[in-house]
Amino acid sequence: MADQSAPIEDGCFDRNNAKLSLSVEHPDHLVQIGFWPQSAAKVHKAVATRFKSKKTMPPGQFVSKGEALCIRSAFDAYLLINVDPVAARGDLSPDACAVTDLSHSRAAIAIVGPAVERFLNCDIAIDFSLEACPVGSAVQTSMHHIPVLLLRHAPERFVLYVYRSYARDLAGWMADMASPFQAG
Amino acid sequence: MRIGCPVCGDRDAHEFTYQGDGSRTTPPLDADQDQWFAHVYERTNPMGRHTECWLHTGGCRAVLIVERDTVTHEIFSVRLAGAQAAIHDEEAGQ
Amino acid sequence: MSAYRLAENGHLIDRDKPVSFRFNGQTYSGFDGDTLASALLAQDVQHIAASFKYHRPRGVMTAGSQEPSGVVTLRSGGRQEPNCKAPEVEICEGLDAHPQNVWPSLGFDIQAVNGLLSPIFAAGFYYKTFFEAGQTGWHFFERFIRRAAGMGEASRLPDPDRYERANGFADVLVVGSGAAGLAAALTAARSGAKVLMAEEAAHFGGGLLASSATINGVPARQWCRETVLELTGLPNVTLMARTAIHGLFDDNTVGALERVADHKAQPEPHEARHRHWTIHAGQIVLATGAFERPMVFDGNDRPGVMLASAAVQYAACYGVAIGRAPVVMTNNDSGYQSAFDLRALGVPIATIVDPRDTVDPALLEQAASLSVTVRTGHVVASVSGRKGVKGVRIAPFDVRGGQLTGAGEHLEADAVLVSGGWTPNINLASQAGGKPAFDAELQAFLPGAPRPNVSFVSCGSAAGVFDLQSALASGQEAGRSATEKAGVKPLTTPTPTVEPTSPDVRPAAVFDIPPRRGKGKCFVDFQHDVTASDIALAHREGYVSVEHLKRYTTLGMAIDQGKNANMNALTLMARAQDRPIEEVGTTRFRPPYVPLSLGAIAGRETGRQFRPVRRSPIHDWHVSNDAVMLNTGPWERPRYYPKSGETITEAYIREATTVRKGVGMVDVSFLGKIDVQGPDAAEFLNRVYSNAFLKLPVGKARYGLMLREDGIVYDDGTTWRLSEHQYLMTTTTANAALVLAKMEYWHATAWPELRVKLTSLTDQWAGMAVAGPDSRAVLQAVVTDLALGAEDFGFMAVGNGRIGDIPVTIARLSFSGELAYEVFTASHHGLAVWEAIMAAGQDFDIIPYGTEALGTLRIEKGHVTATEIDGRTTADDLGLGGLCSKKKSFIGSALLGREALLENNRLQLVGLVSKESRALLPGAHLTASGSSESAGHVTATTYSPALERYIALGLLRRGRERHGETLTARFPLRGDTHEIEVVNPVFFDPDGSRMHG
Repeated sequence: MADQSAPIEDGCFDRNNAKLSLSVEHPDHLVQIGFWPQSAAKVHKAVATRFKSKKTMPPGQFVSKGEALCIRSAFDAYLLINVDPVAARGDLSPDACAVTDLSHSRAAIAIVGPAVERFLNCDIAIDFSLEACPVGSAVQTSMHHIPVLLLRHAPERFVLYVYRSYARDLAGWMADMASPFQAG
Repeated sequence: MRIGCPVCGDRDAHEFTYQGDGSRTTPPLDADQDQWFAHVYERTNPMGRHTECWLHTGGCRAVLIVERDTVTHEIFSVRLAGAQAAIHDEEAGQ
Repeated sequence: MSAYRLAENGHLIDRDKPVSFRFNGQTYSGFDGDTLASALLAQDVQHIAASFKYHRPRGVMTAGSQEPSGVVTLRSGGRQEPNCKAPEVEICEGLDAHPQNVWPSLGFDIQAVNGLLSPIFAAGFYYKTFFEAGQTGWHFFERFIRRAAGMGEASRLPDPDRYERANGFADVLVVGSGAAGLAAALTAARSGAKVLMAEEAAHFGGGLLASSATINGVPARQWCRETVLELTGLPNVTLMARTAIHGLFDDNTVGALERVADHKAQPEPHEARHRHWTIHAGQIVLATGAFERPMVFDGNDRPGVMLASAAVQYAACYGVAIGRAPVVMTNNDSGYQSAFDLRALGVPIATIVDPRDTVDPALLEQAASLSVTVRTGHVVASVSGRKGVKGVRIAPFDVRGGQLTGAGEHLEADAVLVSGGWTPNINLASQAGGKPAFDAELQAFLPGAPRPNVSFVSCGSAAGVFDLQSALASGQEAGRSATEKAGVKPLTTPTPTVEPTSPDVRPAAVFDIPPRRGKGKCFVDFQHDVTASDIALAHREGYVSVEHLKRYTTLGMAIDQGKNANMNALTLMARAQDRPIEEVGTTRFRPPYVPLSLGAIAGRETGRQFRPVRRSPIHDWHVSNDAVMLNTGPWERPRYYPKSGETITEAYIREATTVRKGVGMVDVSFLGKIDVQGPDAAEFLNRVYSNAFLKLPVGKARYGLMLREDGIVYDDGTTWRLSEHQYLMTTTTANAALVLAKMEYWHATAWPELRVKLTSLTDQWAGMAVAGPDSRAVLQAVVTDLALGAEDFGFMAVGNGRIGDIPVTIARLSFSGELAYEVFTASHHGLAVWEAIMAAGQDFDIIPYGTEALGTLRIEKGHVTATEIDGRTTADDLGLGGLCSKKKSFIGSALLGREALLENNRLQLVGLVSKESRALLPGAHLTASGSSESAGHVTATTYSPALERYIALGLLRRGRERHGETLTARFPLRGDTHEIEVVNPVFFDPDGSRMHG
């Protein structure tokens, strides 16, 4: 769609190297599906069908199908990325679930490189080793007092989602945090 | 202090915001003034084991009921409040 | 010359790499690997500091971080750092160190005259002298006192260095890399546990670095080197040198300070100077070692009086002899070992003095074989010399009576090496554990058990195990048990063998030598100049609790936190009170164990990054259009848009006037916005708002008032019904997060059966309010797919349209009291929509307006905000009583009916008009004429362009009955009084015809 302004300029991370690289990503959609105990089974089924998964994921994990991602963000909610709100609702009635379009509410930053874990540990008190945080983990936490969502796509690749209003500030913070890893 | 959020796992205390005494139940909105007065103002202030309500503001935003010793900070149990609890229990049972 | 560089030994220095540095304005030369202490001692520079109160000449007393006397200032300018301990400072090319607390110079320190006045400056000097001088008296003298006593001075310039914070994780954290620590780390590491070993010093090894023992047939330090090499090679091990663990907190959360670049002239670009680590450890092994204990005797603070083991360290590690004629005083066998080690390293030891009558014959034999004279039953009674040791008085001592029994004789000496026993370092264990237990044999405290929510094990000398072989075994066992508790299967390895057996450290209970005739200066706390007589004085004056003793004498309160003083102080206290030491007890151990730079605590949260900043999607437009920004909590909001040379007042008057006469636009993206969605959304809203919400039709918005459970007004906003199950709730900017949390709380704990989902949309939507008589026309020019005519789109209507290709949701709401519309769009489109409306508005001379003008407009209309919703006012107080439904219960309804909230004497919202044509002051108190009692206060003030008067809103007792009264607004802090008239708070357009048109 025309006339969009992004929260973070693509060029704001200018010191990337092989050890650590930060870059802006542009997901198409971000939609939350919130449901209730009465409708949980229906919603799990709809999600499982779309993402061709056999079991219901526990919170803290995500799966992907092509570009689309499905994150179990709470016991009573899913976050879908790159699935538009209409498709997200599908056949589920408003009685069964609340669909909230959050596509413009977040900025996304990819964090790539062998130094990712140490970089994240500058601020975040979570063990990001592969044993404790395997590929497919969805971590909801805060960085610099700002709530963030981290998805681990690969051993050396995370994508971070942050509220749009904080995005420029957090990007600056991250660029500064990254500088010792990116020096020399 | 670390609190074990049932959604996110063990997290540092600074991710959570204290919401108040978790041992009290909100009276029905049409309950009388005395009941509401007791609910809003009257507290024991135990030195020891106490039930508290915390919100995981820096994480998944779950509302948690935590049993904690106010002196030693030892945490005995953490459970979800609200509709999430029912869904959690259902899945835990499976 | 007394101290000098040895021709041999010094395995930590590289004699091929000379390093030049400055101290006290002079250039010296040392070697790579030297500390400032060792390099200066090598040049016989012993007097390097002045003591805190008496300005007595001081030198280093130890070779470690517990150093109390040899403290200097490093560097200058923004990097100046006071209170650096010379034995910890690693020299580097260009290092610039200065003595502190001296004037005009180290050599000639005028303030040493304080020493002559020492009887006056005894313990409790300030309290007793200034007790009745009153505040004025104290403040007069305080200035001089502050300058006369002190440690180093901090720089007032900005610190140019980078400081960082980080988090670390380990199955097993080993604190300390001496024998026990290395053994523990090795066991855990070989078992496959994730191990983190932290060592405060620059080199791993602790006491092994100066030990003359062999481990598995090789010198101790070689075993140490090999062990460190093995650990370094393991992928599951992280070794951290120069990292001091400073605090042990709940759930095995540990604080540590890594001094990343202190040993360099300056940090590399992008390198931090310090890094604070928060380590989350499954299990903790405390191998924190033990301190050798000083003894208390006349002149025990002179440069040249040192711990015996420190002298060994200087010789073994740095190749420095502390003297040519040192005398050793020891109350335990380890002093002998130190003497023999020194001899073997090339330092001449001729005399050992020991208060005990009976000493192990093997030691006496060994001494004799080295031609070392041993004087049993004797002590060093006093030291002569001021800037260095010139001689000692050796006198006979009765251990039972604890007194000298003769005058003794003078002996020439240039150093006194003291071993008063060994004190396990139980600081961390005691921070996180129970009461320490007194061990009568060691005459020291051992760690108590851990609290329920921490898990640690102490080992080695920290646990009272001093024999090296046993310490290694103790470390292995600690490593084994920690590994097992961490859920990893431990591997057992045989304990290394040690030769020879370590000396017995159990002391005779002789720690102080009371001077004959009571004269002399016997220091207990070297850093704060607290003497034995100060402790006796404090006792005589009734300070019998150990916590009182500490605070009254300031013992243990300096940067060494009593490491060298506490045990001796307790011994003296116990004797004065005639009680056993364990009854006297210890003071509370608190973090940090070592001083922490504020930089390490702050990390990168300084300057512009002090706290996070939130920006609207339209932010850049405001900035490039010269908006002056304001911080409201984390948000940056435009305050006003000054045209060339306008003051803030001129700007807001122009902006507010334009809105009332034409059209203006204000960014309202900052408002809290919450998605309230689900089959029970209406019911939920009806419970949290005081006014009715069940029947709000789709496509309409309604003002909502929210109370607290106690009936006081909490927040307000508008809620729009977008569809049958979906509502958009707005809140005030400041309360957005709190309101969402509160609603989530009520939902989860009180009404979990309601099928509703609450989600923040503050970042999803950009919002802008277009306000003024021309606002409809402007929007009609740019909005398609939505009829905005007066009949089609009434007050409080909500509808969807497009601006260009962009979907917008528009609500006809008014905060300003003018005809107005709030245009919401998804935030990536916010800037484009704003610019489109500005473009369409050019024909109407549209202007942007900011929070100042917004404030003026709302005050003119009597709309309340946080200044009136102050946590004490009810809806009725604010004239909104009609919004509290009588037909339903809601949050706050039950307690709203309490007597005190219904009294007629309450503060009520009123309008105030200045009768003096000048601005009113917010916070001024309202008084009736002739009265000085406050009847209320001014909440928010402005110049009103609509009325051409200075006006304000206020809260006034029985305000609604008092329209027309003249009152005085008083602001005593500024001596201001101001005549005002009380009026209806809706100053302008009271029937609201402008916004309903």
